[in-house]
Amino acid sequence: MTKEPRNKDYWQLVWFNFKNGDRNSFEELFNEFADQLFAYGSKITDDRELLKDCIQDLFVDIYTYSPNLKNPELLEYYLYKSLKRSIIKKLKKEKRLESFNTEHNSFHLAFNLETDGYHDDSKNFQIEFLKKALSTLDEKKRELLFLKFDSCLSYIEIGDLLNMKPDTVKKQVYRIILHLRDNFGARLLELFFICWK
Amino acid sequence: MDIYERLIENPLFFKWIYHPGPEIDSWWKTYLEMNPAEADQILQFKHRFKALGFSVEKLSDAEKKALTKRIIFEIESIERGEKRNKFMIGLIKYAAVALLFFSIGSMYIYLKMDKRSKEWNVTETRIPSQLQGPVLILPHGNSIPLKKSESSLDYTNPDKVVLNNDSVIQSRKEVETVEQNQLIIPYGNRSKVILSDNTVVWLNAGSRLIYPSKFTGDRREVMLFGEAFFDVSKNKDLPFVVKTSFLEVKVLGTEFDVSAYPEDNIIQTVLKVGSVTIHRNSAGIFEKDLELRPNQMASFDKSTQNSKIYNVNANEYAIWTKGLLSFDDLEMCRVLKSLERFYNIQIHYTDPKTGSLRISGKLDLNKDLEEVLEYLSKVSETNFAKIDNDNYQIK
Repeated sequence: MTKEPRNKDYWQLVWFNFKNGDRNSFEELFNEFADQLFAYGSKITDDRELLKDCIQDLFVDIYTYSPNLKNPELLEYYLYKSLKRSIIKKLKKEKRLESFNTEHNSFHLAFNLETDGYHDDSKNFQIEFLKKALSTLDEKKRELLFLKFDSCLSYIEIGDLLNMKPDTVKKQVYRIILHLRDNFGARLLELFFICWK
Repeated sequence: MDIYERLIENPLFFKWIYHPGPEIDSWWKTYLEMNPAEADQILQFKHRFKALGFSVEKLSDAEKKALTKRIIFEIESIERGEKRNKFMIGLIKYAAVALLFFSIGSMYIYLKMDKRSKEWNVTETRIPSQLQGPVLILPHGNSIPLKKSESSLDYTNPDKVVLNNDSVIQSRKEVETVEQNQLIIPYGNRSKVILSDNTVVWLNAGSRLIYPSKFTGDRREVMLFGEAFFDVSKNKDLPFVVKTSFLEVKVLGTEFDVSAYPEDNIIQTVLKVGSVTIHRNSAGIFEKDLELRPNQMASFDKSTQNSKIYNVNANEYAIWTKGLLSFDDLEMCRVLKSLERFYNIQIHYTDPKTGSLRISGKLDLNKDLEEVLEYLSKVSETNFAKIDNDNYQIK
């Protein structure tokens, strides 16, 4: 039997143990989420030191106030939300964010397909379509995709983080993913080859 | 839901693509083996996401370690701070700066200590059965037989070490060295050692104790394989630490028993007076040490690495030092094991039920073996038969 990878249920168990005084569980939470949160935070700010400070505050807060966390099933959401709030607060304090508003969204996510390093000479239709679709994405939508790909957050949780309706989040995800489904792209490709011959 | 939708809605799918690792890879490998019909589509879909890809910033190992240290430091200063009044909280900022310098200093000490503790890496070995009696191995490798089966050693006199209350075995010059002595007590023997700080250690049969002639440094450290009862002399500046292969028991001044035989799966620590803390050797940095109150026993299971705490009568775990054995609802196999060690004999039984019998009572081990076995056979309603001098059989 292979071990079940860590999912929400698993983290609820870890959280339960931690609440009952098991400091090992805290270490486990830290080891699992520190990298994930750092990856997310570094899309919002490129100041590593500021980001590390935020992560430190976040985990100290969890340790100190965690027993009050009412819905441990939302643990991951809580981590992302607190981190984002804390980064923006710190940036604002340092006056780096001059025109700060609650709708602030600066999210630097570039897909490998878009970067200069990616060359595709095959003139693959599917790739072309996807590139076009990616070029229309604003920063908020990029953050949405990042959260979908790089966390276990639900559409409701992502929507809440971005002030969007869960349905809108889901539609956006599917819009991009449609380009990656083989029956769409591959059939087009097949058609293309048949005509070309 | 078609297969693509199911994959998209499964966070483990993206984890597999963007954060692969042995655990998740093997989970998907099993999944693909069990669903071969879907394998092609899944792998192709994965391949395309991989091509879409994006890079993320990563914390280096060093950064992550430093961050962990900062968090522990802050958590611990908060925990300490809770006990003080609010006035103190304002001072913490300044204290933190002071502590930073202090911790640079202690890091240096810690690194030095680390080097020193390598000397403790003595491999866990069983008591050499060929030993006829208790032996003291001196730092330079000479071994001295202690003659009696109930020997005693006294290190309190700075000028000499007294063996069995009369003979002197080391002159002062040799005592000056801080290297380790090793006391080996085979089955059928016991010994009492008074260490240089006046701590008294009773070593039970089949045990080894490694200790310095004189304590130096900021802790009093000894290493134990087997069972010993400690009456530690009070010194709140110099914690007394008993190291075993899996645990470290730390005290300031107290009476307690540690049973850590290499062949037993359980390490027991029983506290009679005072307080002790128990530290797991392989503990993670966030793990708290276990604290015992008087008349509590911590039972550490080597295979699961877990400890349980029981309320016990500590006197019953200490009276072996007086040559008595007391057991209250204890498994027969453990009683037999104690007798085997004490008298250096083998007790055989074929019915596994015999070993799991639970019995209560007291045995006076100062009496001879035949008498003790007779009493035990009455309590447990079994019969002992003598095969030869060293072997007995339960029928």
